[in-house]
Amino acid sequence: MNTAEPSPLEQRLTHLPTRGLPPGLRADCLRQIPQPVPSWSRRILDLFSPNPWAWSTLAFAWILCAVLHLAQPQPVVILSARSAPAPLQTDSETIRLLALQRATREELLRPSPPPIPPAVDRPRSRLHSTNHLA
Amino acid sequence: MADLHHLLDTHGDAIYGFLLQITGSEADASDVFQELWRKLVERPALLDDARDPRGFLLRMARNQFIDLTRRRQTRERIHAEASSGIPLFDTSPDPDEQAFRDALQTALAQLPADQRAVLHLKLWEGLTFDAIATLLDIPPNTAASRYRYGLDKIRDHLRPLYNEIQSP
Repeated sequence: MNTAEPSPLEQRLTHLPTRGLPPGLRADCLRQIPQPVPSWSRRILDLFSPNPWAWSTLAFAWILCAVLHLAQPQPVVILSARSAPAPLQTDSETIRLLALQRATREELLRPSPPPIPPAVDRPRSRLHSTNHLA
Repeated sequence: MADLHHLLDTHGDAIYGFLLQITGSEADASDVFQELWRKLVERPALLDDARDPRGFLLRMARNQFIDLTRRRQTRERIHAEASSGIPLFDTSPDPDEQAFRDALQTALAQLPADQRAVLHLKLWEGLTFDAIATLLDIPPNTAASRYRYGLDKIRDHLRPLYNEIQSP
């Protein structure tokens, strides 16, 4: 539909400069554009944009930290009843210590039996000797 | 989100020129442009999904113009204002060129707004008839015929000057 060659009149009309926005209308439109509120990221960008070397250094340091963190091997612990002896040992040890402590306390609180007097060879009484004599 | 400064610098002149053509009035063109601009400022994301921002804005401008005519409930009034003729083109220091532009403005002002819209989109926006048809919600053949009729009328009106153009 547009394959026809433009006529000389069309060619001339095409090159006529049409009027643009009047300066007053353009200024009115520009005034209506709200000024963006700078966010914290915008402030950081504004801070670093005059110093591209600082920005790139910060980015490099960030990437380096991330790579080192990711490259560090992390111990893999699979938790199961069989493969987690440490807490179980600790629990059993605690229970055993508590039992021992309780036994000791009970032992201390139990009234002690009267002491058995030691067997001492005392000299026989005089009566005994008298009887012996009789 | 669209950069409104960039939008105004890139498409502002073209949209205003199109509005001048279809409204035939500087005041109406300014009103419609400001209304369109207000919508863009309120919702800059309107253009996010537009594949062709210029075409989208031209369509918005045309819809805004239709709203204006509906508000006034008469399209003839705008046609009557258009017949007075307004400067559609930049002034030229060459008197012959300026005379040609004045005659063209007068010829354009005598056309119906529908034909002026098609002529403007074809000649000064370089759109295809398919694009014009999409923009104006008309069949492509209608766009082509309106262009042909409008161009013939302009050619008749500019016959003396047109013959001078063809002669060299």
